[in-house]
Amino acid sequence: MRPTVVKMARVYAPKIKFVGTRHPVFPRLASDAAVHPCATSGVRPGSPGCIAVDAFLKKQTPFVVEKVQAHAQAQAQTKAIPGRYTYTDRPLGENEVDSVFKLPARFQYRTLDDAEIEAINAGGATH
Amino acid sequence: MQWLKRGLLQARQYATRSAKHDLVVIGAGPAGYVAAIKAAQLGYNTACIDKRGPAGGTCLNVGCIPSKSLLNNSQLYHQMVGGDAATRGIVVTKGAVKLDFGKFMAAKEKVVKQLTGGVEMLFKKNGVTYYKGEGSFESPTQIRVKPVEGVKGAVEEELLLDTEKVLIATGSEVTPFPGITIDEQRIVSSTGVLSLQEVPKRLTIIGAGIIGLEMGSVYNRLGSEVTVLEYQPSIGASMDDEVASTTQKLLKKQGIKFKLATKVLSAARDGEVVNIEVEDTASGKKESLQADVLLVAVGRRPYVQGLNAEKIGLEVDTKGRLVIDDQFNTKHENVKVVGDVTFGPMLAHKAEEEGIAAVELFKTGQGHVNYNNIPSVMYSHPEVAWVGKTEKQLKEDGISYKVGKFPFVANSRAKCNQDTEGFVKILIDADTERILGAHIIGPNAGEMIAEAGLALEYGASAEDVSRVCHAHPTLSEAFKEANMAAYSKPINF
Repeated sequence: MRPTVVKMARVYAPKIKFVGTRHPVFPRLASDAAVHPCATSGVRPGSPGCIAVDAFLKKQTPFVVEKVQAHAQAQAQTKAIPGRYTYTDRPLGENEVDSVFKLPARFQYRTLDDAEIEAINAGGATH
Repeated sequence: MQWLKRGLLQARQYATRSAKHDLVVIGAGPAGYVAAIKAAQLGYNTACIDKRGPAGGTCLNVGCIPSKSLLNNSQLYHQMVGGDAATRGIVVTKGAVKLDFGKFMAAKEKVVKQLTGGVEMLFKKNGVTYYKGEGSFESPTQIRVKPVEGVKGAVEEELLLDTEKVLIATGSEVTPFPGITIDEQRIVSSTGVLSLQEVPKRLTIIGAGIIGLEMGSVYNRLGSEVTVLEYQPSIGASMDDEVASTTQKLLKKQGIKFKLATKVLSAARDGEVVNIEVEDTASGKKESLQADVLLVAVGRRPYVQGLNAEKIGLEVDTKGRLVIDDQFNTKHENVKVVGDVTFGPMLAHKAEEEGIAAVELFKTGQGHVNYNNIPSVMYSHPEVAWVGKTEKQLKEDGISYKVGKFPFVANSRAKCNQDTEGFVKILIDADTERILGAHIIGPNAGEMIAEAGLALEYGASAEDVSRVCHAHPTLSEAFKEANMAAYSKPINF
């Protein structure tokens, strides 16, 4: 590689040169057509390797969007069966909770202690 | 004779309406609408047909444009809330900055509406007749336009368009993942992820390509826990290896989790969550994951449905791309194809270039696209952009090259902006020093790559670029300095 000082010493001649105004037009004939630069395997219209459009589409999995109904909408469309509880999605009202564990302590189930569990498992017999 | 005239008049009332055009463009995406406007400017009586309704195709409606709006606005939010503001002297107390997700999405919708409406204004301005309907071939010179239910402004009855020339620009659609049902609510494609109802707590993405990483970036900034699943051992398939690994490191630093070399076995919605089964391709170890939203971003495929292309004997290749030659011709010289529905990278700007080239070929017999100079950009933060050859490609081609690299941490503008992650990498021919490739990760990469594209197009050397005066202080000085590094030495590093 030439030293930078030597390179800088020579007169710089840009490689890009102005060649004129509008680009000249050289019309091409259809008979001059060649393979497309981005074509794979040199395929061109009518050449082997081309596939008929309908034959290709028959084998292709179509792109399909299957929308899922909103839960509330689905429930609204479900017919109510007499005597059977139907869930409806609604906001909590006043003095309502959505879990027993949010109730005041006096309304919650008392958990069993170990002695009670042992007694139950022993069939009621105690030591 | 009176009875004959009356009979003919009655018959005409019941016949399909028809119109005549010089050129009919099927599809109003980036390829189609640009081609239609260019054709009208060149003097063609032009019609454009699209069944979506609003013009602009995937790009304007459910692709490039809405995603860039979300990326920009989520980055602004993240800068305020993510802690970066404090280092800039902007005090943001906890809870002072909130995200209004509804307005966030509304801002995106507004941009989309403005731009799609803008295209229709351009059609009017240039005299392009726009038919909102489904276009299909009756013959190589006749297109049927059918009404589409639910599309505002759609044609009310079937039309037959007689035309000399046809340009097919029907674009692409999402590639489905075998065995995974997309509902665009919990299991979404790139379309659905742009219109989520809320910020998901856990977002899992199948596919570490540009779409997956951009959308992952958006929701990561808004607070989602993002996990990216990728079958390949690395991200960014077409990126330079060094840039890809840097990108992954920086995204990981932002909090995005990656599971590479991971095969997705199944994914199914269970109420309001999605259960995903994956397998490590190296060890075979299986794992169960759960997400609130699963984004399937494994790519796109050409869209030819409803075109009736088989009626005129059009053909596709093994990937479903309409087969054309280098003049965009099908087996009918008057029927050309451009954009995502045919060969080449599925990029909006490539489609636009092809649209113009195809119309110019129709008019003058000359039109050209340089496929070696199509830039790619990922609009994450930092942005990633590249054009030309990668190091891997040069090695494979046996071309000896030199590398010039300049980090943004040494760029004064980047330092002012406190945005210094990334670098510019230039690859030049070892003998002639002609620029062969440019790879940028950092602020403004997407804009800066245009300079690289211009240099490549003109066959510039690294010295040519280095000797052009770049304004100071700008980020583009990093591009200049990387070129200096390639053929000589940089000044500021």
